[in-house]
Amino acid sequence: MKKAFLALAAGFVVLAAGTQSATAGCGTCDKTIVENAVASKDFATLVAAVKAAGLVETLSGKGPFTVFAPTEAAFAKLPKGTVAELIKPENKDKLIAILTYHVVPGKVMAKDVVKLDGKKAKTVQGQSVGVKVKDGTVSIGKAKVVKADIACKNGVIHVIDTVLLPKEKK
Amino acid sequence: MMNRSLRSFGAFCLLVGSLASSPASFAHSPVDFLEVIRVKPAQTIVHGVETKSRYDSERKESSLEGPDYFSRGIGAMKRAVKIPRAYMNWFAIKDATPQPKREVDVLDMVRGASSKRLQIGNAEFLISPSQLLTSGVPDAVPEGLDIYTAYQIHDGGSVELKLDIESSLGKGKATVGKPIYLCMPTEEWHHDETFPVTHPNDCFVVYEIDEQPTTSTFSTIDQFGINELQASSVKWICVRAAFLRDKSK
Repeated sequence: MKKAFLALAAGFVVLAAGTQSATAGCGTCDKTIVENAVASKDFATLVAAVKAAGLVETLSGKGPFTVFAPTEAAFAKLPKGTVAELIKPENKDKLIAILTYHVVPGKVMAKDVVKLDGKKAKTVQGQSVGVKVKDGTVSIGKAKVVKADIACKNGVIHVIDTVLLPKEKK
Repeated sequence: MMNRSLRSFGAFCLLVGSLASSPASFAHSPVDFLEVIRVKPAQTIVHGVETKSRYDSERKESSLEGPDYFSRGIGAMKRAVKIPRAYMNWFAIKDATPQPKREVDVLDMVRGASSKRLQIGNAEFLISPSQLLTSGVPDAVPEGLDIYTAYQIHDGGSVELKLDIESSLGKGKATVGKPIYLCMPTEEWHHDETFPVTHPNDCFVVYEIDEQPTTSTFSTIDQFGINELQASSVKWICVRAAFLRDKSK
């Protein structure tokens, strides 16, 4: 799973060297996805899960990645004990599957996410997740995007209010 | 009233005539009129970008906060709203460099050719195209709609012209008062994206109108992401204009 993830990461389009970018006053643009997540209290559980899954190095890499990041409130909606169970070493593959289901290859900004209304986006986990724009709200699977376009050095974070769960393989 | 209507019609004819006979760069604006609505965002954006307008010798950092206002294309002066409809979010520039007063000639659809001279000063807002989020894929930003810097207009005489408009509040009349901002196209750099100026002479003059309360909540998407905006009043009207010359040079 991790190898496939790295292979995908290596294949991502890297912005051409020499592109002059403006990061002044951005606050998040000069940090990686992981660094920005660590800096926010709202992603404490997500960061703990990423660490337990051994994905820190990958998500700190060049990318770019689009991460749909569940908040603390999103994790709190899961049945009691779910997170504690998932971060156990024996459940590492399952945790990786859930976390990589929140990651889409490339840097997909909100203006491009909304173009996918009614379509599906393929995640790094392998399964696809539906995108819907309805009544001014953007949904990814069953999650609502509550904040979009947190630009990072290696991608972008969109904050969601529900943890996405991939279909279990039979 | 008759005189005002004639003057309005005359101004419109003059502008159309002028645009038709002017260089191609004058006739691209995808919107003729926009209402400007005071809004409160669910998430206040505080963000830095780099910009360069006609009045900047080089690109400079601008610290933005907002959006404070939202504008949408409307119909006015018997001209229907253009489709796709234009939407823009207005961000206050928090650290604007003081500008000298400049005299410029601008031809707009309300004042017409009889009164082209404006005196402008400091930059107050950066105006960024946005999209209205409803259901489904939102309409694309109309081609030719750039990013604009709103410069204060000093001592602009009141026009006191009644316009027939079709706005978010329905069909009605608006009394156009003083010109308060000149919106000039501005190049912007934000993260890895560059927003060029596509039509350097297309601009807008913003006029005061009778403030009208409104209550609505809607979501927009702009270069800073998705935001929910709560509207409180319709305050101004943006009028399409053509920049003619800088008289201060």
